[in-house]
Amino acid sequence: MLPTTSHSAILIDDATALENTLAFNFIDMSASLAPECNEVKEKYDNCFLKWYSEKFLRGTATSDECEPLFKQYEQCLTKALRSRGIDNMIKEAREDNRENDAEHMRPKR
Amino acid sequence: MKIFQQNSEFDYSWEEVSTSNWRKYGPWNEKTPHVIAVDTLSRTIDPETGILRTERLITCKQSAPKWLNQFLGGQDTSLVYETSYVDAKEKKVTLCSMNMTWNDLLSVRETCTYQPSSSAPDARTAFNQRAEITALCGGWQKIKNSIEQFTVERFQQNAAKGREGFEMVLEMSRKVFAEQREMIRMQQESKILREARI
Repeated sequence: MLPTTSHSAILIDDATALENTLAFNFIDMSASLAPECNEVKEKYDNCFLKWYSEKFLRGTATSDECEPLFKQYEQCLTKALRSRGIDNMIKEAREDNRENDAEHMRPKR
Repeated sequence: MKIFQQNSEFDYSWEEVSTSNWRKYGPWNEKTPHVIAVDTLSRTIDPETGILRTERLITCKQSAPKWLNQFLGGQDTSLVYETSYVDAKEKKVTLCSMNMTWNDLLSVRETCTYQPSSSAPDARTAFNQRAEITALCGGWQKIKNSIEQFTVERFQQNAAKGREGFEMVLEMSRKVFAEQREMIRMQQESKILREARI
């Protein structure tokens, strides 16, 4: 085995700790109603949260870089909603929500 | 119709509250186990106003009492449709939600807002919650009243738990964020040290 300096040991520790923190972060979001979508949902949620806190809130968001992940998640979810018959219920809810959209999408400044 | 309303404050900045709002029902929140899934249906930014609009589907485990279940048909989950609007310039989050299940029988419409508190805009966040509960079923007024009364009481209990749970999420987020910052700082420092050696 190659001799390691105390310094490189610190580096390894840091990297492991960082990885653990990120892995920990990975489980802080809620599940999908369709278990088969959980994996891609988690990836998307984490991407979004990072974009939201680091770019959107600071006013530096130029594009939605999580869009490709969202498309994957959406594809999985749409299938699940359709097979459970929830897609029609969503359509109805959307109709009922028009007033809220009108009120909150165009606030008086 | 019955109305539930409350105003309170969180001892966290608007940025922290609005970020943690996205993981309000995650595993860090031990107080709302009735929320079993949260799915994002769509997300767009309005090109004119810059407002972020999100549609979510919230799945809850049902725990209605027996007498009410007779009316509800014994389904074990209920669905909530939520739209949220985040105005980062005005620092305002608005959440609107409605029940999708049993909506022939009962209408529950809730609006919540998070805005910087006027007393300490950089450190505290004002929370405003209002819900309107209306029984829609035909028939006896007495039954309608019981359904509304039960729902508003359950809503009140869930609102209290929701607040407690959100406090847990806010605390964890602050802790993890601080740890991550420290981790990145340590990593950068050791990089500098390593390069200094070479």
